[in-house]
Amino acid sequence: MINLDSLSIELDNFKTDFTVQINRDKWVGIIGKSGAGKSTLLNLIAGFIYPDSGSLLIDNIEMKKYPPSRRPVSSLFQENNLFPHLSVYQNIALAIRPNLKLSDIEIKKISEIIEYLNLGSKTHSSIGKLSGGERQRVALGRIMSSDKKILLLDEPFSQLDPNLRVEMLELIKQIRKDKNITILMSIHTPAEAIDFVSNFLLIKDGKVCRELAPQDYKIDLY
Amino acid sequence: MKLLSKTLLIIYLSLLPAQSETNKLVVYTYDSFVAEWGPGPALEQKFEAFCECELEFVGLSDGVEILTRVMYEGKNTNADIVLGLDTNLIHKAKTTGLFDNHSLDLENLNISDRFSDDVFVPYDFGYFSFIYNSSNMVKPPSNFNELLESNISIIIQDPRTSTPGLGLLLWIKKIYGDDSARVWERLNTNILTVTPGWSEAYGLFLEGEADMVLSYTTSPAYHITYENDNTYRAAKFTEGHYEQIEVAAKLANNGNDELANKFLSFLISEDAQDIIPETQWMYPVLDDVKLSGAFEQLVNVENPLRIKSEDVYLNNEKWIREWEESLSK
Amino acid sequence: MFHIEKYRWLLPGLIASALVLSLIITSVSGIFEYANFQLIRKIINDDYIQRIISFTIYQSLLSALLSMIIALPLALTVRKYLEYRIIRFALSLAWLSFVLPVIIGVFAIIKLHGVSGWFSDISVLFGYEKLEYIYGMNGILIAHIFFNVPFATRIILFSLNTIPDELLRVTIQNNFSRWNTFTVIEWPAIRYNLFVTSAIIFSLCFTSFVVVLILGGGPKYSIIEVALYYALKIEFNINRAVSLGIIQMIIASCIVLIILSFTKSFKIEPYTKLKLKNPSIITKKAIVIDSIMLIVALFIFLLPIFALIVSCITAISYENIFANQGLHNSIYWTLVLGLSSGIVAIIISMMLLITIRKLVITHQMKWLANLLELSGNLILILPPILLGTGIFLSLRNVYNVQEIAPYIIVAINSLTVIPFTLRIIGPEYLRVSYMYDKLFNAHNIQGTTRLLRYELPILRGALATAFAVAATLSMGDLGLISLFGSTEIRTLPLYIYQSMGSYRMDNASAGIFILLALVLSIIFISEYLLGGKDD
Repeated sequence: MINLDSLSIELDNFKTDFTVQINRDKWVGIIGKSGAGKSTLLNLIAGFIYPDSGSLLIDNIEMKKYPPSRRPVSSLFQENNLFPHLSVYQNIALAIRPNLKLSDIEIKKISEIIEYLNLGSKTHSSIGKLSGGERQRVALGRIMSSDKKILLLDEPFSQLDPNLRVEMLELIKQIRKDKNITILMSIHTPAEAIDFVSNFLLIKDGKVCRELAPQDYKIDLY
Repeated sequence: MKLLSKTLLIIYLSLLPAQSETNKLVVYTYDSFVAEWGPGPALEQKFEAFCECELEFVGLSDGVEILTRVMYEGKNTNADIVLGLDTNLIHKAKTTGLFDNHSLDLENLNISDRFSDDVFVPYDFGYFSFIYNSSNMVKPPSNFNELLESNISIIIQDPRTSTPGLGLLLWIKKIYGDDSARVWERLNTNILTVTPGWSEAYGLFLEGEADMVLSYTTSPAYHITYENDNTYRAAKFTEGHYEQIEVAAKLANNGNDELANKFLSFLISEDAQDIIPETQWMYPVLDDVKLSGAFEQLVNVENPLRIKSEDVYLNNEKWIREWEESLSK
Repeated sequence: MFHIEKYRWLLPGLIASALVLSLIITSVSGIFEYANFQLIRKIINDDYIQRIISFTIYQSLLSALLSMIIALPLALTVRKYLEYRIIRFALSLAWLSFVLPVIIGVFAIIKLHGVSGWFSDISVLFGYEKLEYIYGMNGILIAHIFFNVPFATRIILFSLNTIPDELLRVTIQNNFSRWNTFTVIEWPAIRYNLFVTSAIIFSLCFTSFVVVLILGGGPKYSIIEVALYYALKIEFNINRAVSLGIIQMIIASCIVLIILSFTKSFKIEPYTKLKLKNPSIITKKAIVIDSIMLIVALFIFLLPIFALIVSCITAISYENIFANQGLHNSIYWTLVLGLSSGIVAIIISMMLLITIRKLVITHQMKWLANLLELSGNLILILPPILLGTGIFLSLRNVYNVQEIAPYIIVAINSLTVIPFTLRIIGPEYLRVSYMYDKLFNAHNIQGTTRLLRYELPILRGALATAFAVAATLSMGDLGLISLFGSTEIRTLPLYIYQSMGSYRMDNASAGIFILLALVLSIIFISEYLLGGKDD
C-alpha cells in the first residue's frame, strides 16, 4: 500500500499537498491539466525530489529517508529512457549490475525478458536502430529486470501513435499480471486507458482532487 | 545582391595600396618612442613647424624589429629613416647595404670621443646597470664579484629576445672575456628569472619579486621626476658600465633625400635633444642640454664599456650559445 | 542524376573552408621559398635543438594532462551546483584567465604565487622563508593550469549538459555508483570533447612563449617557439626560422593526431536534452567534499584575478583613466577589432557547421565533414609568430600593410579563435539538429528560414558564449597586434605593454583595469543578456 499524507514541496510559486492511499496491485491513472502536479507527484514517490513535509509510506515504511535506488519503485519516462551508446541487452542489464558484469543466471534472466518482450532478434542492436515502440519496450525490460514492485509511468507513450499506445498498454497489462506490480501512470489521453486502469486520480493545483472510476474520467476534468 | 556586390567593391577598393606622398617623411622607430609619453609627438610638432612636410612615425615593437622590418621589406620599404637601433646592431645593419651615409658633422657631440660613424647618427645613450630599492637594500654590491658572492636575487632579460639582455651578456664578456661562462654559472644562483623583455623584468622588480633588476643607470630619474620617489637607485659597479648608444640612419633609396638629411640634423640639434632626457630617460648627445635635477642624483659612469659592433656581429651566435649552456647547468 | 540545387548546402562550409585556407596559404606562400630541407635535417641533428624539442613536448603534454586531470573532476562537481548563481558567476569570471593576454595573466599569478605574492606574505607572517616556487618548471605548469583549466572545465560542462535528466534519474534509481555513473553515462558524453580539448591545450602550451620565458627561470627551460623567435627576430635568419617552424608544425600535428586517435572520428554527443526541474540529488557526504573542492578551485583560479583587480584599483586615478587620450583610443580599437573578430569568427564557424551538420546527419561523406572541421582547427598547429610574418611577407609587395592592418588583424584573430567557437557551438548545433530534424522536415522548414528563424534562436546560448569567447580572446591578443599594430591602431594589451615598457605602471594598471572591465562586460552581456539565463 502506498500512503501519502500531506506530502508537500514548494517549487517556484507552486506548492503541493498530496494525501492519498493507493492499494497494492492497482493500476492508477493520474490525470489533470498540465502543470497540475502530475509529474511532481511521481517524482516525489520516486525520490527524485525531496518533500518539505508530510509522509510517504510504502507498505508502512517511511520512504523519505531512503534514496531513490533503495525505494521499491522504478520509472519510465516519455523519452530518453535509454543510453544510446549501449545495446538493447546492456540497457536492460544495467538495472541488475551497472558495470554490466552479470552472472550466468542473470544473463539467462535478461534473455528471458528480451524474449518475453519479443525483442529477441534485436538483443545486440544499438538503440539508434530501434523504433519508438521498441525503445519503450526495452525500457520496460529494464524495469522488469529490476524486480521492483511499483512502476511509475510519466506519460510514457505520448510520443507513440495511437495504435502503438494501445499495444503498449496491453503489454503493461500482461506484465502487471505476470509480475504482480502496482502501477501509477500519468496520462493525458485517459480515454485510451479506461479499459486498463483500476481507477483515475484527478490532480488539481498540487492536490489529489478526487478519485474516479474509469468510466467517469470525463467528469469535472477541468 | 546589388548591395552585397557594392559592399564587396568598397571593401576591395579600401584594400588597394594608397598613393605615397612625396612631401612625407616616414620614420620607422619603436613604439615607446612615438607613444604619447615618448619624444615622438613633440619632435613631430617641432619638425613639422619648419620642414613644410609631413612627418610620420611608424612604431614597431622594438629596435630589433625595426631592422628586421626594413630587411624584410628590402628596397620596397616605406621607411625613409630608421630610428632606434643600438650600436650592437650597426654592423649587421650595414651588411644589408640598405642605408646611406649621413654627411653630418658629429664632432660636437659629447660622445664623439668614443663613437663616430658615417651612416649612423647617435641621438641618445645610457648605461646598463642593476637597479635596487634602497629601502630594502642598504649596501648594494659595488662590482660583479660582490654580486656573485652575495645571495642577492636579480631579474635579467633574455639576450635572445631583448636589448638589455644582450647588453648584460656583452658587459660580462667585456669584463671577463673567456671566463664569462664560469661567471654566468655563478651568477645563475642569483638569477630569479630571465624575462623576454625589459618591461616584464622591470614590472616584476616593481612588484617586489627580486632585489635587483637589470636596467639603466638613468631609470631612477623617472621615479624621482614622476613619482617623487628616490628610493630606486642604480648600483654603481667599479668595473664600469656597458654603454648603449641609440642611433638613426636614412635609407639609401628614401623618397626625399633632402628631407631625410634635414631630419637627421634636426635630431641632434638642441631643439630635439631638449626633449630626449625626460621622455626617453636616456642622456642627450649634446652637453648644452640642461638636465633636470633628477639626472643630477644619478650615478656617474666614468668608464663606459663597449664591444665593437663588428665583434658583436661575428660572435653573437657563439656567445649566446655559451650563455644558454652556462645557465642550463 | 546530379542536381546542383540539392547540394547547395555544401557551399557555406566549402566557402568558409576556402577563406580559412586562403589566409593560411597566403601566410605559407610568404615563407615557403625559405623552406630548406637540408637545413631542417641539420637543425634536427643539433643536440641543443633536440633538447629543446623534447622539453617542448614534455612540458606541453604534462601541462595538458594536468589541466585535464584537474578540469574533469572539477567539471563533474560544478555541474551539480550550476543552479547556484555564485557558481555561474565564478564560471564567467574564470573565463578571464583564459582570454587575458598571457603577460597580464602571468602578473596575476605572481600577485598570488610570487616571491612578493600573497602566499609568500603568509609564509613570512608565520615566520617562514619567502616562497620562490613559482620560478622554474612549477611556474610553467601552474601558469598553464591557471590558463587552461577554466577553459577545459567549461568545455566539459558543455558536454555534460547534453546528458538528459531522465538518464541521470535512471542511474540514480538503479543505484549506480559514482564510478558507474561516470563510465556508463558521463564518459561517453564528454569523451570526444575531452580529447579535442586536450589537443587544443597541448597546442597552446606547445607555443607558450611568454610563460616559459618569464616563469621558466632561464634558458634551461626553452621551447621551439623561443628558438624560432630568436632566429626570426634577432638573427634575421628566416631560413632557420622557417625550418624550425616546419619542425614544430610536424611534431605538434603528429602529437595532436595521436591524442585525437583516442576518439572516434566526428562524433556527436549521443544525447538529446530535455530540461526537467530539480534533477540531481545531492547527498550530504558529497556536499562536504564538493564544497572543499569548489572553494579550493575558487582560490586557485579566481584569487589571482582578484589580486590583480585589487592592485589595479589602488593604482588608478582620474588622470590616467579619464584624462587619457591614448587609453580612450585603445579602448576604441580594442572594441572595434575584438567585436569584429568575434562576429567574423561566428559567421565562419556557422558556415562550416551548416555543412558539417548536413553531412553528419545524412551520414554522407564523413571524410568531408572531418576535413571541414580540420580546416577550422588547422590554425592551432601553425606557430603564431610565423603565421603573422608569413602574411606580412606575402602582402608587403601588394599592399601597404600599415593601411590594411585592421583587416589583417581581424582576419587572423578570427581564424585563431575558430577552434574554440567550433567546440562551443558544434555539439549544441548537432544536438539541436537531431532533436528537430524530423520536425523541420515534416513542416518543410528548410534553408535560410530554418537557420535564421529556428536554429539560431535555439542556439542563442551557445552562440552568445562562443561570441564572448571569440571577441574577448581577440581583445586580449598581444602577439598579432605587436606585429601589425601602429601608433594609430593600438589595442589595450599593446597600450598596457607599451606603458610597462616606459615605466608607466600606473597607466598599465589603468589599462589592465579597463581591459578586465571590458572583457567581463562582454562575457556578462553575452552570457546573461544575449544568451538567456538557462545554462
